[in-house]
Amino acid sequence: MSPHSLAWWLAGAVVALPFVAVLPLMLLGGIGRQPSERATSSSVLTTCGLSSLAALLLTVLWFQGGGAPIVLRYGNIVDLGPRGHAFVSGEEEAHRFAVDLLVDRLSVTMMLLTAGLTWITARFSVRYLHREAGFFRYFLLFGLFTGGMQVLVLAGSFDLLFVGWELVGVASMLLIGFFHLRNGPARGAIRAMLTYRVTDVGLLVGAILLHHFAGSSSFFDAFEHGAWPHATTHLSPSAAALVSLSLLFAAIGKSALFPLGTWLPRAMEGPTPSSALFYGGLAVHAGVYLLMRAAPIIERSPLATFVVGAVGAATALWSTLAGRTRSDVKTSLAYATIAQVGLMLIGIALRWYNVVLVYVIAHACLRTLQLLRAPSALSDAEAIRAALQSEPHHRDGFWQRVLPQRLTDRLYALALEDFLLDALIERYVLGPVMALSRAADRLDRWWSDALSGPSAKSSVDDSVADTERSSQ
Amino acid sequence: MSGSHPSGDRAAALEHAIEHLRHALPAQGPIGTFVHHNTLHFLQHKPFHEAVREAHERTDAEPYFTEQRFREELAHGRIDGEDLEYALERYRARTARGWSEPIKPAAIERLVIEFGVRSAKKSEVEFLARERSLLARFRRDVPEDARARIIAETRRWILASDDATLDALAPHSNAAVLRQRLARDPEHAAVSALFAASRVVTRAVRSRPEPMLVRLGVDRTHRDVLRATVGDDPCERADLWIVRFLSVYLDERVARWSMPHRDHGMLAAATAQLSVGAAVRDPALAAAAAVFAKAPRGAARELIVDVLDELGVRPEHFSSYVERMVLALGGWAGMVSRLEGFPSDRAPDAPPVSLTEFIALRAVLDREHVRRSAEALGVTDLSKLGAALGARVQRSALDAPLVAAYRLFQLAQLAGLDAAGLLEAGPDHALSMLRVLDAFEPIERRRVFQEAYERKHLRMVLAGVADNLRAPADPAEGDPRFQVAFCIDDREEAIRRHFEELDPRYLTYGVAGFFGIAMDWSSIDDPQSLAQCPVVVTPQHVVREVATESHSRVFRQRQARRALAARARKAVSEGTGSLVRGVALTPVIGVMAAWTMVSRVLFPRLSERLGRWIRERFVPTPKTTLSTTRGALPAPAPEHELKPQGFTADERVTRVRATLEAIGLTHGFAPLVVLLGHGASTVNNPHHSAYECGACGGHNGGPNARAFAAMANDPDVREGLREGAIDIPDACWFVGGWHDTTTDAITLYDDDLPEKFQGAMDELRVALDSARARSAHERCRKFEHAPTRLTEAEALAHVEERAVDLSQARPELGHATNAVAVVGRRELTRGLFLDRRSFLVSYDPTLDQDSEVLERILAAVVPVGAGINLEYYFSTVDPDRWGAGTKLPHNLAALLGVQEGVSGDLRTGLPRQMTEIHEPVRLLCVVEATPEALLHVAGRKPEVLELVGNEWVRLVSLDPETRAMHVFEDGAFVRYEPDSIALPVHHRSEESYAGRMGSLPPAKITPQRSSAATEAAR
Repeated sequence: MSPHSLAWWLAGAVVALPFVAVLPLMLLGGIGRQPSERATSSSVLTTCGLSSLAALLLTVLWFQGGGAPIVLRYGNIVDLGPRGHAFVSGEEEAHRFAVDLLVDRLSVTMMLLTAGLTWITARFSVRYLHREAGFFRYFLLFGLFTGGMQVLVLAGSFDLLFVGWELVGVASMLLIGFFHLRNGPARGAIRAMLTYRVTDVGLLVGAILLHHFAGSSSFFDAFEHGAWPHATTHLSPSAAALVSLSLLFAAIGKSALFPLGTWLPRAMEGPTPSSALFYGGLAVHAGVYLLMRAAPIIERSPLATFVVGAVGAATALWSTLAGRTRSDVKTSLAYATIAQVGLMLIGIALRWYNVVLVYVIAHACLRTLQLLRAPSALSDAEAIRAALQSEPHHRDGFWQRVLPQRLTDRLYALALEDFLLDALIERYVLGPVMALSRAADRLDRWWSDALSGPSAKSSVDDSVADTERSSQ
Repeated sequence: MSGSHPSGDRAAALEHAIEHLRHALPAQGPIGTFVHHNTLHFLQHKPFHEAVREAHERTDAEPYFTEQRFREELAHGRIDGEDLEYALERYRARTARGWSEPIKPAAIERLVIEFGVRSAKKSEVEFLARERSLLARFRRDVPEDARARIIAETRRWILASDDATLDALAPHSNAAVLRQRLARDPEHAAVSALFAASRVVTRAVRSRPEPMLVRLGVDRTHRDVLRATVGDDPCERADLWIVRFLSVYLDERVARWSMPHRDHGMLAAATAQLSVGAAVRDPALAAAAAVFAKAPRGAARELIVDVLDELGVRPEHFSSYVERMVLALGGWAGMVSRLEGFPSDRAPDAPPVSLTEFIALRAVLDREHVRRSAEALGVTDLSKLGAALGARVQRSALDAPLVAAYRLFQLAQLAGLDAAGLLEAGPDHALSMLRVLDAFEPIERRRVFQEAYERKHLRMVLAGVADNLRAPADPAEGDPRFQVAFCIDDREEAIRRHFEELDPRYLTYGVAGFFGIAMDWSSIDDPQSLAQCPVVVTPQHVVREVATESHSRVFRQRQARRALAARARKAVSEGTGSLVRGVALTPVIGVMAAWTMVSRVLFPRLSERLGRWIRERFVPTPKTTLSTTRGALPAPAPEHELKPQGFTADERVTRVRATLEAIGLTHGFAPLVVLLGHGASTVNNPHHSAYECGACGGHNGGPNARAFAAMANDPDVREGLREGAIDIPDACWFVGGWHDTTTDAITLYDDDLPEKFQGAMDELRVALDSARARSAHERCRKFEHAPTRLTEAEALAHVEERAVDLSQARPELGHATNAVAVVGRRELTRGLFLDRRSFLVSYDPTLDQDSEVLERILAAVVPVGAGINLEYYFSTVDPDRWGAGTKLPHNLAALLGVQEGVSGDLRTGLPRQMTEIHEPVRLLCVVEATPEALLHVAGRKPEVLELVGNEWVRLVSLDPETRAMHVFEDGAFVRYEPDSIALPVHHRSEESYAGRMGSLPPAKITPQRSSAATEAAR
């Protein structure tokens, strides 16, 4: 077997294996026959474990090949592109949805990170979720997330990346709402879903624009001259700006950046390990990955580069200030995570890609562990207090020391309210949209009532008559 | 804002409401110290069943298991038919009932309890009729003979009657239809005729007014009513805001940027916070901000009364209304109340807390949100909201006859009564049958089930004790070799049994695990002192652990290195949370995190051992002593310490004597007398304290055991004891130690053991190692993740891993399944397998003629045992309201407690992971004392009388001489004859549980000894 075909098989295995467990589990769940805890977890653990193993082997193979990018083609799915592409299919060039995977420095790193963190978190979850009513659902979504994340990082085009992006989004949203009988999780899940839905449009539009400007959304067609991060693109700066800003919009949603990032601190409603994996480890870095992948395009446009940096800076500032005011462990960690992700965007704007890549790995591991250990906060604090023989006090932040008190008081109040980002968006974006959709709904109801007439009422005695008729 | 002071009666009513609320809110303090207590402590002055019903009405919390759960227990044989009949008889005795035909009330009750008669809304009945063949098929669980009888009777009736008779069922059915159906499908004919008959006889049923609206302004809030009728929760955003505000307002040490200006109080801080961005934010919050801004400082009471007035709440309902309103965030409100009531729990400069201000905040925010919802419905006068909503729900009142028919229909099916029979009984008897059904409402039924459930438990335990008494398993032979006093904790029952199985000369005792030494304790590792005693006691003495003189250098080194490590940890945890330092730290710490994660998650036990090995190298351990003797150690007592350090000679003698007398160990001392406190080691677990010793206030009992041993070995104390006729020979040595209930490790403090006891000590260690391995093995049977077949060594490894596994939500099972307390001599229970479900308290009635010792024991054991038992009870029957829910989404808020996710209420009680296998039965206290002695004690100890008299614990008297049993029931002792059964006999405990997971009945363990072993024992 040639190294290339071996890589073909291995990369395929990394992506496909998680679904090998997910699909039968979905079917079983669908017909209401949930398998036992042991069967559920071992099927997901086995397939995800094998996927991780394949990822490891693929990395070795890639290193042996000298680290050159490997493009793996798995055929085309014509006319089966993600929805939304239908309206561009009328163009002269037929749309091609290619299932291509790309193995290069960026994707190998992210693939290994995904493989490692999902494996450890899965092992953690088996014991943590023991006897939980939603055990089956959790592992199903976990497998879906793992597969989606690997598709996302190994995808060779923005089209396929979008598929992974959506799978990650769905799994993420459903796990926030894991305890769906309570209000908080349901609300958090809806918030996340709304943000995803709206911002995912950015990725879609970015991919379409890329098709339009470059003729393809595939990374190796759209980029030229060398492997990531040295690739370049021949797009015009203005086209590059359009594409980059669309992609940035998508990243703003997924990575919880300014100004749409307030969903993430409210998303810590699911089981601790899923919060750790998604919002400490992987999903939150997906936006960073997307921008790194699109780096050659962003580089073409100074405007886009500046906006990426500015969004990063605003994110870092907003979330670090908001996070400093919070006193519950998971929210504090959520803001701390977002702040560092903001810094990563500045890194991208500065073109420090390798630094950012290393930083992503370290940060993902750190936050995952910190969130997994979130319940230890009390015993940690007690241990530190006992060993220092005193109640430790926090040093005031830099601005607290330099700014006048009245200003810091004001700043504090704003920070605790998340700088009113939610209220502003609700008032100036959500409100008008909701009003519009309510109007549309009224129109729709009026229309359907006019067509079908009021629905028939039934009572028990009517149904006596009904059974009557049927028995005659 | 009227600005006027509330008038006299309103002010008084509000004062009363606030005072009432202080008692009704959860009493749990900051979670670092978890003290088990009766969740319904504030209702403890009422009989148990009344109290749980009252709590249910106020809070909607479940008082018992669900009926469905109980029926499953019935099917599994956990409840027997005779238990059910016993409980039903008790129900009948307390209910005045009329007469009904043709199904007698007693039969109705039995059918209802066994099968259940559902109630449903009209829409549901319609759905069932349309989609689930309600009118064509019998209910699935209708017994075969009832089906056959109904079908046969209906056939006879239809065939024998003329059309006019059958048309009595009009308009719900008619003769032609029935005849046709009978030919095709007799079941269909019978069932539909029966339903039609049910409808005919229930036409006269009248509806009762919508309960929610009747209670509006009484003990249901406007928010409740809006949620129930309109569907949306109007005050959800108020909750979110309050949670966020309180979690930072109450925080003292987590947030790196604390809320400014908290010294003016909660309301002032809230006003400042709410007034931010009034132009853009939620209008209700902005309106509330305006209200607060206008109110003068300190006007919390006026604000509350204003709100209640506007909502139309009358002063006599202030209490119940405010309680209901505040319970929407009961956990947070409870924490506010607790912090206000116990200022000593907080730092001296902590921000002021006030329940009154909290209520004002809640009331104004709720009113503004309710106002907006009401305006959306076109209501501007909030006191008229009930009337406006009443119009909306009126329509459902017309459904009453259908719903009644549906219930009667089910009852008739279960009883095998056909349509003709029902018609013959007529509307009057139908109504009286419905009255019987109504009277036997869900809570009553569940109470009956609960009593049956507890009855079966009582029968099994008492039969076991009675059988064990007939032939004591292991009569002591020869002089005792070891006497080991354990805590009375139910988790120690197994290890005691296993230890005794090893040798007939090994004796054990049970005593509250603080061993009678109440002290403020501080170890060398933590200067902060802990009250090591039951929470009802306040220590009067300080005991410190001090490094011995020769080891003071080691001690200083230890302190320095621990401080170094702590500073590093603090720097990392703060640094990674901040922006700039985070950049520098993340790459390095991230790599370490990856390593930690892999090792701690994949190899928890190995990595823990590695960590311990490194810690032991890095942090040396000095030899230490305890300052139990007053003035013996010139330890540097802090200036402000008011309590004396150490005990005087008299105090020491009194304490040692009291404990020895309590357990009946006043003579025949073994060479080694061991006192084992207990604690638990768990990781990643905010509820850690709940696993530790309840008798030590939620702390490790080791220091108390060590202090007791030090006192009992003191020559002065022994001299003093001799005057009181307790002669501890020189050939006897006391050793303190502690048992880790999670890992089953045993630590003994034997630094100062005299040389001559070394041989005995070696033997003791071997024996304890064997006992703890067997105990671990027995515990593993209840862990689903432990292999079903495993050796004792594997079992120990398994439990050790659980203690250090970050992902383990159940390091151990705590007090789950606790159900019994036996107070008496060990011969009652020695050799009896009690499945780790019993508190075992040593008490020798023969040494206690005037019941003084009994009084001391019961005054400690009944409240502590009941506290644990009832906390588990309530957290089990309603894990979501009384308990803390599942641990999975828990989030430590301000290190005060766990909150659900990031937006939920603070959760009190026990998490589901601690209670899921618990059987909610009230503690069955079997006391070896006459009914007279018990009544005498209860008369002198009001705290015991309250719990026993109101049946929060079940009390059984076992006569020390005649062995007659009396059960305390309905205010008096009633003679009880235990079931006469012969327990299964095993040679080792393991045989009685091998391969089984659920709760097990008592069994008898008679160790089989080879003659060689018996020889050796001699």
